[in-house]
Amino acid sequence: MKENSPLIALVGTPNSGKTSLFNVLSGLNQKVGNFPGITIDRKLAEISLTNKQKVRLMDLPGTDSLYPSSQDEKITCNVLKNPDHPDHPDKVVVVADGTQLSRALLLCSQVMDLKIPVIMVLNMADRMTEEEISINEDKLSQILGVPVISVSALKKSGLKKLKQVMGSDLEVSDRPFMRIPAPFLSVLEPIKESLNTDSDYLVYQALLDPESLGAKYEDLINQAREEAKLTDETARRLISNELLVRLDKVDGILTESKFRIGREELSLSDKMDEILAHKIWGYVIFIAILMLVFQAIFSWAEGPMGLIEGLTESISTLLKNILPKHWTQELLTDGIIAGFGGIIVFIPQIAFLFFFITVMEESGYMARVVYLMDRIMRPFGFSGKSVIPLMGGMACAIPSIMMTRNIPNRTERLITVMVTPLMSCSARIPVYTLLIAMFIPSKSFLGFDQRGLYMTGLYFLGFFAALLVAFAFKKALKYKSDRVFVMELPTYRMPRWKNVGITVWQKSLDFILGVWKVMLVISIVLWFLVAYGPGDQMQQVEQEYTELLSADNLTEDEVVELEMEKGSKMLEASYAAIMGKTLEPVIKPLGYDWKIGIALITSFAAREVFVGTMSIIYQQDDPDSLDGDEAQEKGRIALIDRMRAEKKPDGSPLYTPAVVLSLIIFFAIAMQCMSTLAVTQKELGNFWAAIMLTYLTLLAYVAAFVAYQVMS
Amino acid sequence: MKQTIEEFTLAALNPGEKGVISRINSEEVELALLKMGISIGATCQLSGRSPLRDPIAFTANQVKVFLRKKDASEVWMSRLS
Repeated sequence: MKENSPLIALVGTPNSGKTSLFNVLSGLNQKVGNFPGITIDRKLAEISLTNKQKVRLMDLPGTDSLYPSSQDEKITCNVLKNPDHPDHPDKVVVVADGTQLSRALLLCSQVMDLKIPVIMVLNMADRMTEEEISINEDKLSQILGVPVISVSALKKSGLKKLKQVMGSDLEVSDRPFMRIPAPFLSVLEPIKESLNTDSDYLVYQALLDPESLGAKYEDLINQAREEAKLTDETARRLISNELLVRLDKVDGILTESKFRIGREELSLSDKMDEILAHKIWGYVIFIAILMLVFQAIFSWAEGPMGLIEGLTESISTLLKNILPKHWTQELLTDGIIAGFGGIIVFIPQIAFLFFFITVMEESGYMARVVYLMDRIMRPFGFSGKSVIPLMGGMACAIPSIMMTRNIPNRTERLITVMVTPLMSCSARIPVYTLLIAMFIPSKSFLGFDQRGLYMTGLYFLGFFAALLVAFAFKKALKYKSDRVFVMELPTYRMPRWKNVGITVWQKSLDFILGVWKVMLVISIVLWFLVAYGPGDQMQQVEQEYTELLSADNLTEDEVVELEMEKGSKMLEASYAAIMGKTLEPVIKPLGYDWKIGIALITSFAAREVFVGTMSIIYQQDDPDSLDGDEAQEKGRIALIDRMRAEKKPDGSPLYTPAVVLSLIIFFAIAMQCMSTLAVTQKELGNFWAAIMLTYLTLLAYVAAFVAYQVMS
Repeated sequence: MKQTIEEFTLAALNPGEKGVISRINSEEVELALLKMGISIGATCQLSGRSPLRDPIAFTANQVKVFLRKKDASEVWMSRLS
């Protein structure tokens, strides 16, 4: 992409249909990256206008004003308000929801005062007609001094004209909307020069909201603030005044351009709210939708997951057959491919979950969920908005933690991030399936499969643990929900399936990109720890068994037996065994031996690695890598039989119900996921990542200890 | 001559009822509403009721929003004449 083609940014209030317009204009050309240093999506596309003219189009997160109130809004404000920002646009398209013009004009007037060339787009032209809203566009354009174009992203009307205007030279209006208060004018001049801008307002903004310019100008701004005797208190009052003045002016402009709303009666959307946001039916419907989502994650995703597992297994087998037996071949198949297989197998569940979440958001229903849940969630230190990441946590904590960014209150966001890993994610399923099957018979209880009931119970355990811990954090941080929380309940609309598709694709990609590096490194390290050992112990085992295996009179069964014995002896001589044995004294109070210790270490990368490690330790096929349900079930039974046969040094069985329960509890709580830790570190910094790791590990240890001691 | 103006908070409005914002006692609430394009003088109509009457949803200036009860109690209204 040529960096020097003009950069045009799409700016708009939330729910203005900005992203739909971006998708329509860019097609599938978009490149999604991150803004430097933060994980907020930076969507960019190169598009052709008329006459082979090319521009870069950027979609910025929605914001109500240039005074940000959440992480998402902050990035938009920084990009627009800092002329030094690498993404500072050459032109801005302000996307207005045609049915909420005063709100849109408020934002538009602010952007115009920054002296960036502006095009105003009246989006949802089709809905304006429907709701009998009319305005004289030419008049509006004339008063504002910027082009105003009616567009419907849905019906793809007005796009040609928009592209044409985007390519033309635009004048910057020289009539500022707002007069800067006189006492500030003198202090603005020197900063204007060093910022290389001729907008008074841009510098005035920097004084009121110093964060937007970054550290480079900190001293300069602070000095000017002192000179103008500006305190945070007065700054806030000035912001209020500014918005009031602007709204007043906007009202006048709307009257002048003959803005009229035809209909007065309840809209369809309001009628839908009478049911969907009803104090009883609202909850009934929400619970029904949740059940549908679970059905999708657990039943519908099974097919595609089986396909993916089968595929990775066949690739691995194929490579093992065609490549010469060498350590690089083992590294590739047992390390790298196994590792990648472990990641992509979760894609179907994650895609399903995000499909539902996106449809709920696109349609406007999610805001109703927040409305219904806010009061219930608040006592635990959550925001109503926490419902979304917590739901997401039932598939995967990684994209869910990224979704907390739209929670405006920092403490509520922090608490949400900290407890999201407690929700039962899909990586726990293979672990739970194995462990539950070890001591719960597959019997029916009141028509339900008993094992299924235990599994459901574990989901509730995760959820209640999240509530409890959130409450503890709230108390520890002495948090009182004293910040204002305003949220829009947008008009319902049909989800745009293209938007849904793009979002699902991007979230799945987020997940893969978030974890692949960690998984790759961990897979290689694990493979090394298991395949190698200190000194020549491993070679000795190898030699010993080569001799035993070279005997002539062995039956096939005996060969298999010897091979397995060899494998487990080799493991005992590996580095992994040394680590497991070092860990043994610590985990003994939980009922674990050094072999389980190995699995705890390896599954720190990701929980599901536990099952694979158990299979290596006990020399069985990894049940999750087998092809087909039947083979998997058989593999699981074989592994379980082998685990049941495992004895402690004193001859009693190792895997008592107490030990298994202790393991289940441990896995329900412990921070066994490197990638979640990495995402938390990115979102909240080292300190909170460390807190998360510490509290989850300690809590898991204590809970598993209690469970084991009580049961035995 | 004494004129009494009936004043009540947004939190006390009944579903479907309308009122005009006369003052907002909390600067923070005022700022948050301003960002949504809602200022003093705006007509608010309350939407349906949530359990425990919290949060409170209303429509003003063609925008439907909700506020927590605590914040809505800072918004004072007068009856629409």
